Amino acid sequence: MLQTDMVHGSSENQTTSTEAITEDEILLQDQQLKRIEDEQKSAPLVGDKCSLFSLVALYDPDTSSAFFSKANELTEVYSDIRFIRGDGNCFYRAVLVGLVEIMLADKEKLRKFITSSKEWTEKLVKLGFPDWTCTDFCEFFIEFLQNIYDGKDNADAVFKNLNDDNTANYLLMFFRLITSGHLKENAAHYEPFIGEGLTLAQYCETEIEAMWKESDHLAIIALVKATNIRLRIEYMDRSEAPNGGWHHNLPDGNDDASFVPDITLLYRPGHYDLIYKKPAVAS
Amino acid sequence: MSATRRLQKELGDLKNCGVKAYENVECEETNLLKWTVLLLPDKEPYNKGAFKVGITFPVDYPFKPPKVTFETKIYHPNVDEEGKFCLPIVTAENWKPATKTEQVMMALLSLINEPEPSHPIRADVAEEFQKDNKKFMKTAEEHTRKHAEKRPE
Repeated sequence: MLQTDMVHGSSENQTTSTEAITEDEILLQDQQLKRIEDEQKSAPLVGDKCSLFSLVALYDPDTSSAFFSKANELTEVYSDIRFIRGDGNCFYRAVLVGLVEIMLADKEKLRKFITSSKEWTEKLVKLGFPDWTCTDFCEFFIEFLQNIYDGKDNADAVFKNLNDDNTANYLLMFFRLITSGHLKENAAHYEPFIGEGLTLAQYCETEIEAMWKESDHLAIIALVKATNIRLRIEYMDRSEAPNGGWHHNLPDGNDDASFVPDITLLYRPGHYDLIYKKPAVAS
Repeated sequence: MSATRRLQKELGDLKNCGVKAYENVECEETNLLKWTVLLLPDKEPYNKGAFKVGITFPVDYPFKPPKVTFETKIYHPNVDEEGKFCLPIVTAENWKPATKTEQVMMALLSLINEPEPSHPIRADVAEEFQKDNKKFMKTAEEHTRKHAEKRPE
């Protein structure tokens, strides 16, 4: 997994100027991109749930002592981890998998989410995503949920779908569209946070609606609001946490005492995985 | 293959889009991933001919962009001798899965109708376009007459 993080970093250099580069350089760049892609593809899109000690095992107590001890500390509260492939979609994918797991276990929540997904389809059209290519992603997503609801797809089939590139891409695209939709719907609120002379619409087009683009804080808030989930993010590296603490609750303004997250993610620099709390011990 | 679901609908859409400039589209009988569009620019010096444009869709379409090239030779500052050109909408960095082929064709048509000599692929042609436009028009017209396909009636 460490390797995928490194891959993550280097893939950020892809968007260099294409002007004035020779064919040899293009060829070399293509080969590098291909190698990065091959490395990424060696990990499953969605790993099996496994013990959190497999995270501890990734770090050397001497050379990575900070991460090693943090991983150990996490095992006191969390029991399991599900590794997600590091390909720029990991945040969206982790939330998708977390939500699907909840809905597999709770038919009422599934029913509500189908309803809200249908509402999102209409809302996207109203927000100016007029093309059928957008609603096509919505319809695919709703069909995926409906198949679970109707008992056509069991958990095995669902995870097979989540691990199938093309199916999963369709589902992720729905998440990207509603993330963008939430930002556009509340443009006045989010506009001040967009940097570098971009408009909110441009930001959404280039950073959210394009696949394999990593999520930033704005994307995270927007997806949390669009899906109406309570999310906790645990940080391996304290300096990365926005509040200077070890974890962050979303939506903002939720203190630890009353906050019960639906989904918990573990953030390691540039990457998100799903983690699961230890079952409560009856006293 | 999920590309099929989308491409069947897009093919029908493009055929019925009502824009003469790119509604003539054919797809290989056994391969939905390969299309040929007959592009009919409406501005001089290209409005006397028809230009075949090949579109190859990747298997993971619409998540990766299609590859689009001219199969008919065209004398244009933004298209090289092999028919390749640079269209931002279909580059890997800019590609959005919701983009339709019709939008790609619209962007290509506008590039052909309104050359962008400031971002040339063929510097010599761009220079001629800017410095000796008369000569450029003449060469391009001759080139069209010689290489381009006949426009459908």
